[in-house]
Amino acid sequence: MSGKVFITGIGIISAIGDNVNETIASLKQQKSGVGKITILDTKYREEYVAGEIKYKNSELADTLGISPKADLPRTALLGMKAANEAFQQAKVHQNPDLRTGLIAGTTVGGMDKTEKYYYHLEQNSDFIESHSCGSITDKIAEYLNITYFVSTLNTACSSGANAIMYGARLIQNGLLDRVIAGGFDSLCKFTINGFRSLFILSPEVCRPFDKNRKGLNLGEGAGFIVLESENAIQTTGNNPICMLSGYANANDAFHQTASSVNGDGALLCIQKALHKAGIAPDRLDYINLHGTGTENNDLSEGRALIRAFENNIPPFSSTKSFTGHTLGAAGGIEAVFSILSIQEKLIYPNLFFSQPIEELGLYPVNELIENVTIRHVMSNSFGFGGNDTTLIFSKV
Amino acid sequence: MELYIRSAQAISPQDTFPGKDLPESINVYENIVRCLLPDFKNYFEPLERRRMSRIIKMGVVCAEEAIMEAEIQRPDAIVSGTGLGCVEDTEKFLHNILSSQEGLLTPTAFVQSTHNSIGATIALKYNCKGYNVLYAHETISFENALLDTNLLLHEKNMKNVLVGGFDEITLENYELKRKVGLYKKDSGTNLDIVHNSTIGSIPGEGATYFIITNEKSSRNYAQIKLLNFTHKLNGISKIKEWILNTLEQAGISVNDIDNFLAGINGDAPGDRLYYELIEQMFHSTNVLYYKHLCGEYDTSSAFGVWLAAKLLKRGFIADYLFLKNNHKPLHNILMYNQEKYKNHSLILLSKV
Repeated sequence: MSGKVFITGIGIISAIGDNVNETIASLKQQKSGVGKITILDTKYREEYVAGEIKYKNSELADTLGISPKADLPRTALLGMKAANEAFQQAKVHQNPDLRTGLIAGTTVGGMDKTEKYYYHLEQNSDFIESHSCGSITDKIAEYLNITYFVSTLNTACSSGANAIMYGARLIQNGLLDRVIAGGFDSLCKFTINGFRSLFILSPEVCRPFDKNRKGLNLGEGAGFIVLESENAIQTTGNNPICMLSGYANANDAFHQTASSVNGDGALLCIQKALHKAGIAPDRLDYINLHGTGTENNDLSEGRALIRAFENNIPPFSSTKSFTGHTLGAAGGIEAVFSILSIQEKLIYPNLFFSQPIEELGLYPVNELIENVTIRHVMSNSFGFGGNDTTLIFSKV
Repeated sequence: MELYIRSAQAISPQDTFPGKDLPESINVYENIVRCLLPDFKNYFEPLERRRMSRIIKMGVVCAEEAIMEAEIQRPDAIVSGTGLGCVEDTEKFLHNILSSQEGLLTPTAFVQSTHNSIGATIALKYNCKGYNVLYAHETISFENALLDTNLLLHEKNMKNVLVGGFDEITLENYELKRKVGLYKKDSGTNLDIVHNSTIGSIPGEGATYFIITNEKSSRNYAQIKLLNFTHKLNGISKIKEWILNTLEQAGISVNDIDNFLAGINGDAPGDRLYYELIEQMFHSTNVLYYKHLCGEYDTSSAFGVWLAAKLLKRGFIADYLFLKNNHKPLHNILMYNQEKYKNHSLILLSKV
């Protein structure tokens, strides 16, 4: 159980950009992608805003060189787009002898297509075989021609982060040389109605860690990164962007949907990830929070921060007000943000923050910080069922 | 691999739960092979029992019995596999949305439709703050959970991992999959899966949980000696080569295998591969099959592992499991599963 895990490729699509370059530009312009819903067919277009990607499925298919007639689930299209960008950067098609895996996290699988045709079987019954989480990863694997190892996790909103962690562990245990790992999810009626029924959707753009936060915005997208072993990098000759130095998974064991008052699970995985990375808490240069903007998450995560870092919390912010909460994709998307923080020397602002939560008195980074050397970044992903995961990326 | 099965529990369509051995005879089901349910009153408070869906109760109860059988306070980690998660709740919430045109909905079905709600419930019940994940990758969901368990027991100071698989079949899901030929169009029973000539399998379901440990003990059911799976292999010669390489890397030759446990599920085109392998590679071993007991579902291989563990512990094989009896001893069982020529998996279990 050893060996470094290098990042050699990244790919992303979200409400703030179709690719890495557009994403960097939006982050630098501090431009939120959360706005009016215009693509998803839902009754709640007027009631809620979301981090929606402004392409129809046919347009996404077209970009990917796939016939729109295939009518693929939106999740598959988003996953292919981001995974392919990471794949191209790391030139995964070269060196076919390397044992290569594709590991993805998702919560809805092919739900967007299922709900479209569930009452209209006569129009299209393909959804029956594209409903499961794994079937979507298979479609991405087919698109990228990955055949050796293909896997999928679903741990709710930490799915993407757990996919990355599994990939790293398979590399460190010598079972794989290279892994494309991340997460994908698309907006759908199922989740918008689900989160609405829990009364945690905000009608306006979310304000994570703000006293007057009103809940979360849903978002959609995909984020993938290419992980390579020390040996693989000798073969590929890739220039590592950074490395994945720490990771941990813990369970809050508190409630099916709520986080514990004191953030026990969050604290545990923050501490375990730091331990795994072998760095002291004060060496972190930035924390990309889970920070959904719900009453409960932010309070719980904030308490965990205070317990883990005491009076010395590193600069932190949530990027959920840029993208919305992309659920299973969030771990992948925010891994890309964390890697870009190192690569682009940036700390992102927590948009729309104005007043701290009284019980916490914590101030997230409020404006863009540029030209700052980032050595270690922490990324938190927490989910229903107390599924908590923390990743740490470090400069090579 | 230093991986041992400490406890094994299966809620299945057969009389297997809690803690039972293989049944004397097989329950026969027409078209859908559904589980025999334990009396949930013995496990849950009335309110809990009403709120939880059938599959969540099955999974939780099965996991609880596995923890109790292993005589541990709590597992160090919880790793589950499922193909489709909690189908009944997913269908319920989907209908609620679609039939009310996104009306006012209650969240219970949505929350319970979350794939890892069983793992979360167990964590809550036993205060397990350790590692907890769920794999959802078709017919290798359980295999991924088992692989992760192996990594955990190697990496960390862990002794006991709760690992399992669960999937449920609902009438609605059955009808959908039957329409597209995943399940047989014509009626049949679970006993008809061998040498079947029609397309589609007989659907089943189950919840199976184990405590897997790295500690040797005469109490253990069996050792998991080898585990490997891969996504796609091109043609039978590549598949044979992969099986041989996998065995070879574990220092085992195909002649060392006494019992070959095939994932035959009654789907003629998919099953052809098993028959070809049996003829070409496993002609002198005992050949066993098990999906006539549990039906086909994404994590049915977890039930296969339960069955193999029970067989190895008691030392003899029930007649109804034989496809071919070559009178081999019962030192080991090699399980092979695949789904329409993809997601190939091998698990070798041996006597402790």
